[in-house]
Amino acid sequence: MRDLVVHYDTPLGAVKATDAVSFSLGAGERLGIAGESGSGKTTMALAILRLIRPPGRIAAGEIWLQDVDLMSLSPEAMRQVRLARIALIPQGSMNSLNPVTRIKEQILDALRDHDVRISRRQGQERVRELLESVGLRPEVADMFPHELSGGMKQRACIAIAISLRPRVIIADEPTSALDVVVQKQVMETLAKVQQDLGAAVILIGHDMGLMAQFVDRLGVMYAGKLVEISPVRDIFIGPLHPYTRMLIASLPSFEAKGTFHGIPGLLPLLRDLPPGCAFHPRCPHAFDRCQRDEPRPREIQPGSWASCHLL
Amino acid sequence: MTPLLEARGVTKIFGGGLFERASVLALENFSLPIEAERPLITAVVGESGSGKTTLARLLLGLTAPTGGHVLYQGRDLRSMSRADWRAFRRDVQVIFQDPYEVYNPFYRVDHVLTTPVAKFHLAPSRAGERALIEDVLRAVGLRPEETLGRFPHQLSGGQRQRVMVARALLLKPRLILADEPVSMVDASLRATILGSLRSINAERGISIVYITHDLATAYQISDRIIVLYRGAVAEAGDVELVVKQPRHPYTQLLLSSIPRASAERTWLTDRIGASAGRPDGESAGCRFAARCPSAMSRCREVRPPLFQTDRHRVVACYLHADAPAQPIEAP
Repeated sequence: MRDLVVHYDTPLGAVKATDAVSFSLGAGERLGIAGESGSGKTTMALAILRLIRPPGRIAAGEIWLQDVDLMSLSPEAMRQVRLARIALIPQGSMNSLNPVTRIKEQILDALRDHDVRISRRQGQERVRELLESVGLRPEVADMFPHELSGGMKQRACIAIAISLRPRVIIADEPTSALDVVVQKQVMETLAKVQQDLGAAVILIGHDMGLMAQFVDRLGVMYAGKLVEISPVRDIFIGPLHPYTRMLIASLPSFEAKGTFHGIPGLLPLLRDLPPGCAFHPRCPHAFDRCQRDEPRPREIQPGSWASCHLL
Repeated sequence: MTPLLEARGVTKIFGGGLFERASVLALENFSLPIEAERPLITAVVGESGSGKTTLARLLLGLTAPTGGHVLYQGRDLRSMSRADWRAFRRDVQVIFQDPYEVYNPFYRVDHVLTTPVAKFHLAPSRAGERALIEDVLRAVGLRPEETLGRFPHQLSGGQRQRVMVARALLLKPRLILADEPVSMVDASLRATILGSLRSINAERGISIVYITHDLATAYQISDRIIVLYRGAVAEAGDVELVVKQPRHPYTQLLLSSIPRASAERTWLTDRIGASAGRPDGESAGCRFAARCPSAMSRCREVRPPLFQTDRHRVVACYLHADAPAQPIEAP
């Protein structure tokens, strides 16, 4: 992704939901994109699949999948890329299963929609394989969504997402509605299918604990911008951007009591961003340049990028 | 001393009527005294279906127990006079999960603050009302001049939730029940709201019952903790003991399931003994037995009582049957 800009047109002018976001994703890599609500992380994910709907639009930027320029594809070619090359597990997907259709039909629908021609027998076999790969019993194929628990439904959604063996799986808050014990199971399932397929994963979310334990590299978004992207270990040992540092300090730990601190101030409104660095009103280290110039992303140490005048 | 509010052997069963398919045991034989003399923060932690919301409704008198009693200053909520209820509604305040739905979008936020002042005659004059409101707003870290006069949509979720905490403080309550107060608030603002609950407890001597699914925030703010599993107490006691050295297999499972925000990566590689499968239906034994790696035959036959393993901790598990069992309240 190079310099992606997504605008939402409003009567008060265009709002930049995602502004000049760039990153690369290696084959088989797990990349996390973390941010608070309104930081632009979901918009960024939808833009990869060109699923931004009006009043939103992709105003600038390039997205390449290997050597294919996704922005230049026809709508039909893009439709074929979705699911077959890049699969999305959207937020709340477990509640988007069709309540009156058996699980196997919902999996087969995805295959048929992408013109996979298979016999009934092969179809049944494929459904069984897919369910097995996400740890669900074969009987689940004949069940309806209401007969499944939340964790089972989410695993059925993963089965649909991987049905065409995509190269990239985008998972947007895949476990936000689940209990912690079930969350762990679902993430284990996602890790397993990803390894089986050799696919890359983009995990979108706000749970820094989940990011710390699951991804290889972590990007942190604030007010539509990617303010830092580094190997995940480095972020938790030595975060570079003041926002990242304060976000980590705001997390309640089990190690010591009373050591978590909120970030003073409020998230800025995207339609009314402060000049210079969008974080400067909340940043304890801000100096005059931060109010004037917008910092550009720079490679601070090998593999670690951040946008901050202090660095 | 008579506790301010007490749940004594409370059981709540939903359904089971003539035309209902099955009854659901939402809470079973639950006891908790809240003493106003020693204001503590008590965390009630549980996953979905643990009975924590039912407990909140029972403590507020919004639903009646099927068995046992909820007592306000020794009087059963079911047989209280109007005067008792009026006192109850001053002494016991509640903060709900959703800071978006409690506001009427057509009124300025002042409305949720001036209404209780008028209803309970809290201030003799307009100036007194203003002073009182400004005091409670400052107590939760809000600047009155930036808050009053605004409409709900002009405040963030975190600010709106803090206004609700301020509203609760207006009545000088002795207990605040907070049901998932920060689950819809962004991470960077959670700490601020929880911090104001802590300072309210310390500075104003108000007891707090903090109901949550999040063990980490529960650990951070509470003095004692109750872990619920499917309507029954699994483990309860001093928060340091329960979180640092959990004794019940369910508490251990919960704690090991939480992904830690640290550079140490063991979450996906650690195997947990307990299974996360769907629990069985009602059984006479321990409700966790079907998932428990250490389940013995008696676990499936008889419900374990609460064993007092330490001075400040009880565990409902036969692995600790060498400790004295707490007497079970007569129903």
